[in-house]
Amino acid sequence: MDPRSRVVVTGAAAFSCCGFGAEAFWRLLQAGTTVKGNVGGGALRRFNPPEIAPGNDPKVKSDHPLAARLLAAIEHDLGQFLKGLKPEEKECAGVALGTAYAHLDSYLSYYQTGTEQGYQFVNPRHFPSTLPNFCTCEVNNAYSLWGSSTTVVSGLTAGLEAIGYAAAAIERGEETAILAGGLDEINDYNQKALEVAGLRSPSGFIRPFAADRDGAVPGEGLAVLLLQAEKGARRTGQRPLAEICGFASAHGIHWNDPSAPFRAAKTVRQALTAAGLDSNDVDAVFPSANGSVEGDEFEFALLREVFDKELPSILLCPIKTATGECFAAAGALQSLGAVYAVGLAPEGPSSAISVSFNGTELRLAERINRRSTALVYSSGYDGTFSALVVCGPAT
Amino acid sequence: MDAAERIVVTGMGVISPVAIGVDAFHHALTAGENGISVVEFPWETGYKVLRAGCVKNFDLAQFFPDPPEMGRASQLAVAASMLALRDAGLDFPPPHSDRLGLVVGTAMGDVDEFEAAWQGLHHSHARNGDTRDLMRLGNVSDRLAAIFGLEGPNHMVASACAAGNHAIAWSAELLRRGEADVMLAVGTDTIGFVDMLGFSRLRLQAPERCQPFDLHRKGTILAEGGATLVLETVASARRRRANILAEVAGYGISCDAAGPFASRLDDTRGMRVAFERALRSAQNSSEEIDHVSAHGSGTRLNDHKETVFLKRVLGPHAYKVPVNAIKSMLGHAQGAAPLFEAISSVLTLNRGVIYPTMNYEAPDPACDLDYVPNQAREQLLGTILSNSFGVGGNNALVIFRRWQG
Repeated sequence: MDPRSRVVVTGAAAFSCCGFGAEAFWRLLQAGTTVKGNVGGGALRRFNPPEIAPGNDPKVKSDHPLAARLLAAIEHDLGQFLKGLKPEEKECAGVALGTAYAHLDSYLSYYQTGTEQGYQFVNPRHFPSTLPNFCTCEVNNAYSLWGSSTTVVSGLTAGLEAIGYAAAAIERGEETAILAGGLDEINDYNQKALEVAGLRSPSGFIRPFAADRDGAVPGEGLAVLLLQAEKGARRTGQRPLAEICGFASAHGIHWNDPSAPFRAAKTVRQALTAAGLDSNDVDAVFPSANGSVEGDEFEFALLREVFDKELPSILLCPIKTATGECFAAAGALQSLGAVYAVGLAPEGPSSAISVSFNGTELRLAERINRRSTALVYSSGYDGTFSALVVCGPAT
Repeated sequence: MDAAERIVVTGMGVISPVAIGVDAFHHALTAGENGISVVEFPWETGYKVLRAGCVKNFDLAQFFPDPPEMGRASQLAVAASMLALRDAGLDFPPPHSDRLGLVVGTAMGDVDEFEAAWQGLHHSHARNGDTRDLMRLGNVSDRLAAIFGLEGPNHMVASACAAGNHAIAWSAELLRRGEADVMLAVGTDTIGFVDMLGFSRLRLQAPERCQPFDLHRKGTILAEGGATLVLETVASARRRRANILAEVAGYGISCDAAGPFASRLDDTRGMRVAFERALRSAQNSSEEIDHVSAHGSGTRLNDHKETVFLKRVLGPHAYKVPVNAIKSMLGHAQGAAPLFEAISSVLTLNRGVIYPTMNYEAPDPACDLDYVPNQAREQLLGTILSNSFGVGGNNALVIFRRWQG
C-alpha cells in the first residue's frame, strides 16, 4: 500500500466459542478445537463479565447483550491502550465494524412488544439498539473515540469489508488508529436462513473440504483488530504483529454460478496486487470454508484458479471447524487467525493433514507455524466476497 | 488535486415525499410544498394521529417493467438510481461494468421484509428459499448491482440518519483510490413500525408539522424516500463528455462518542471533528462556506445544538450564512435524508435558489441564524456545507462546490 501510510495490526480482541480474549482464541485454534452440535454448537453459552473478565473496568458495559460482549472483549485486550490515548489522539481514532444480523434481535423484540403487547410496554431507551450502528457507536462512546464510526452491513463478508475500509482510512491519513472487525450472533433468523438454504449440517460437525461434509454449524462471536499507521505505532512503542497489505471485494459471486470462481479469483488477485504480491508469495490461506457442499466446491475451484499447480503446497487453515459459521464475524475471526499466524506463531514444523478433494491433494492445518504471508477471504452464501492480504511485520 | 482525484456529480435521481424526479423536486422545494400526510399502522404508538412524509403514487413498475419482488427501501433506491443513471447519460448494464460500483447508506434497510419474515417465522406462514435474502441488511446494494449490472465496488453502510452522506464519502474515496470510474451514492429508507414507535415513544415525533429552528418546534416527522448521486472523477467525466453538475469538494466523518442521543448541548466536539476533516479535504476555509444545508430535524435539542455548533466553527461568519432545513417540507427520511439534502445543494449551486425552511413562525432566541424562513431565495453560491447527524452519534458532513471547469 506504499507510498501512503502502512497499516499495521498492534492488538486484537475476540470472543467466540473458542474462548474469551484474543490469546484464548489463538490457543484453542492451535490446539485444534472443533465445534460440534447442530443447534448452537458455536454459541457463546455463558457470559458473566465479572467472572469471565475479572480485571475489566466495570464502567465499560452495555445493557445490550452483544454490545456487552463486544465491550468486555475490547476492554480485556485493548482497554489499557484505548484509555491511554490523549484527547487529541482520540479525535483521530475510530471504529469500523461489520455485521449482518447484530441489531435484528433487538429490532424484532421491539416490534413484537409493540405489536403484541402495546406501545406502552416498549422501553423508549431501547430504540437505539434497534439500529444496526448501535454496537459500533457503543465502542466509540465507551472510549470517547471521536473519529469515524462505521457500520458495514453489506452482507456476510461485512467483517472483512470493515477491516478493508479501516485500512484505507488509515492509509490516507484520516485516522491514526481504528478498531476494525466484525460481530454477529445466532438468532432464529440466521439459523433458519442456513436451514432453508440447505447449508446447515445435519450431523452437527463442520468438515471443510472433506468428501463427507454436510454443511455448517451456526456460530457467533466477534473479533476486532487494532489497526494503526505504522509510523504512529512505532513512535508510541506499539509492537506491530502484522501488516494489512491489500484488500479487495466483489459481490454477486454466487457459489452455483460457473463464473463465480473466476470472478472471485480476480478479486483475490486485486488484493494481492494492492499488496505488491502475487500468488507465489502466499504460504497460508484462511479460507471461508464452512463445510457446505456447494460452498467448499466453489472455494476449491477458486483456490485452484489462483494457485494452480502450487495448491498442494499451500497451507489451508479453515477455522470454522473451531468457531462455527459466525456470519459477518467470520472474516474478522479468520483475519485474527492470520495475524497470529504471521506475527506470533512459533517457529517449527507445521502440522497438517492431507485430504484429497476432487483429485487434488489439499493441506489442511492442524497446527500452524510461522508464516510470512496469509491470504484471508470471506465468501457468503449471499454472493458477497472479500479478500485481505496479511503479512508479517516489517523488520 | 488533479483530475483523477477531484470528484464530481454527473447525475441525480430522487424519489421523495414532495416529488419524483429532480426537476419536480426543485419546483416543489422552491414553492415550499408540504410532503407530510397522515399515515396509519395496525398498531398504536401512543399518538392519536400519526403523520409522515410518504412517497405518493409510487409504483416501481413505472420505472422497471416486471420488477422482482423486493422491500420498499430497495424499490425506492432502484427507482432513484435509474433516474440518476439516465440523468448521467449512462447505459445499464454499462460497458465496463467492473468499473462502476455503489455504496448504499441506510438507517434500517428493508424493514418491511424483516417484519414480514418475522410474521412468517412466528406465525407459521410458509416461507420459501428466499429466506436467505430476507434476513440481512445487505440485500439493497446487491439488488441494485444485479438490476443495473454494476460489478464494481459494492458496499452498504448503516450510520443511522447520517448514512447517506457516509455513502457519498465512501464512494468518493473509492474513486480517489482508483477502484472505480463511476460510483452511485445511494440513500434509502422507508417508514417501519419500529422507527415510528421509537420516535413516538421518545417524544421526538412532532404531532403535525416539522418546524426546524422555530421557537415552538415539537419534533421531527419521519419520512421515506430514495435518492442517488452519480459520482465520478473529473477525468472520467471529461472522458465521456458528461455534464458536470457540481464538485464533491470534501467530507468528514466522526462520532459524538457521547451516548446514543448525544444529549449534552455544549458537547459539539464530534461535530467539530467532522467539520475540520471536511474543510481539510476540501482545502477550504470556514469563511468560504456560503450556505449550510442543515440537518435541521426539528427536535428541540438537535436544532439548538446544530446552531451552537455552526456558531462555534464558523465564528461571526455564521451570521452571514443562510442556513436552511428542507426537512420542514420532506420530513426526515433517515438514511435517505442526506441524499435529499445533497441533491438540493447541487440544485442550489446550479439554479441559484436557496430552498426555504418552511413552518418557521416564531424565532427562537437560542437559534439566531438566518434560516431562510418560508420563502425561497435567489442567490448564486459557490460552496455549500451539508450536515447530517444520526442516532448513536454518527456525524457525516459533505462540502459541495460550484463547478467552474
